[in-house]
Amino acid sequence: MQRPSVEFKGASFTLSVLKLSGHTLDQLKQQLNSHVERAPRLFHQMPVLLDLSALDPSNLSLSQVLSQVQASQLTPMGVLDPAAPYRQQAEQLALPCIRGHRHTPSRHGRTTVIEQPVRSGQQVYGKDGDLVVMAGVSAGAELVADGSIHVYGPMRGRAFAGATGNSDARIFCHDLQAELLAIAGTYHLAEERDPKFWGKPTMIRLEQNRLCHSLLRPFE
Amino acid sequence: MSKIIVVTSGKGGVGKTTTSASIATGLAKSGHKTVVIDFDIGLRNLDLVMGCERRVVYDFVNVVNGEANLNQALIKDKRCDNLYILPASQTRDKDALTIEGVQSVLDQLKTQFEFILCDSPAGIEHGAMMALYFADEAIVTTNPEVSSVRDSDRILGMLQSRSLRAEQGLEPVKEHLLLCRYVPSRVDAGDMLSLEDVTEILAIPLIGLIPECGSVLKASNGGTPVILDETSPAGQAYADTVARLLGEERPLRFVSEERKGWLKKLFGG
Repeated sequence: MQRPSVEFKGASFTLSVLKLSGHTLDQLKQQLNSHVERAPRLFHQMPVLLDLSALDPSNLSLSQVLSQVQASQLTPMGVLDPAAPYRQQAEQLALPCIRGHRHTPSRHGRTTVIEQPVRSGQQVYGKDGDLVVMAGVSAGAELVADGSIHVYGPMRGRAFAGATGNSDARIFCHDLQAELLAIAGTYHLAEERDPKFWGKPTMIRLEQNRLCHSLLRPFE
Repeated sequence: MSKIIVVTSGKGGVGKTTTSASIATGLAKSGHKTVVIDFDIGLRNLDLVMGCERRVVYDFVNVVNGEANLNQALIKDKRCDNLYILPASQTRDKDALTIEGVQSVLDQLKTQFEFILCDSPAGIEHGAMMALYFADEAIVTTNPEVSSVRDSDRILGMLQSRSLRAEQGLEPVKEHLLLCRYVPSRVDAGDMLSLEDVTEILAIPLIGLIPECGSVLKASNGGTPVILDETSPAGQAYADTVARLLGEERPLRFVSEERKGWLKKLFGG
């Protein structure tokens, strides 16, 4: 098979946000330099997102700001949530405008509740949050959630918690008989499970890349 | 107000056609005008079990395609006045059925019949979907065996998500569990799933339990629904099932092995 010459891959990185303030270019220059001088090697060519919310577009243009930031040996990667004038200038300069999390509605905490049994062959997805199933989940059924998964009936199917990579997600089963459990891509088959958890109320969480089981009512 | 009941299972060979024939006959014998439709296009069997295979002229597909009218295709049962059979086509395949075609046939049947039984083909493909799509109630036929139970579970999922009632957000299809070919001695020996095992996994109400019984094979080969064999355990169990379907309460029989007394053993039971 021929290798594709172009591949798109999803990845996430942490970027520093540089919040700029000041009324004139000189003020900006002064403040930037005083910051960079404290740790020149750390800041050298550091990729940053520009937060321009404290700047007045009528005083300073984006191209002026950009050249000043670059002069301070920083690498601007984009502009965070720019106001309309800066957005237009960013578009002309082909500089990406990044939407910050502050303005998007909270992605987590949306809960999907299923009251009906989830039958063999059915798939249920708890998008952007937890999935709660009040009934049984049959063998061959699949539960997927971006957050945690809670099952109050017998859990005989498969469950994938933290499907978009949330390794803090957990799985709670009132009656654990699951074929397969996974959190953030780390999975575990029924065969590998300690038989003492079979049919018991159990919590599963991810710890050092392994799924750890614990009884929910250990004192009974 | 007529009721459409699908007899379905997912897995093949678990007793759908036997059940369709017996329940249709039982409902008709109780005085309800009933029609039973064979949805197993290409593998026409219901007419054999009902003993009317020599009287098939037109079939379900002919009616769907407008090549015959409904009354030409309906076969009147010779034993019960209230019972009619709409046979499947043996020469076509299941793709010959369309939602619109099936709906128009069912709409016509609704004007004449109290109960419309749909004998589903095995599988979860087009034919089985057509049989369950318009159902008001479903009799999910299962054997006490893991693969049969798993497939029934799959069909229950389809009833909840792919039926007309599900798609339109109406009251869901009423589901009944019918456990067939039950052998209490094999359950006791641990070879067979118990009634409790099956009801626990499928979690729907039980409408009947049919014991494994030689009378079923004999009845099928003879073209007589087994419910008419009133002395056989299977026939009696189907009669109980029909009574429950009509709202009567009947105790569950044939759940445990009948102990034969020494007198019975001596003189033959």
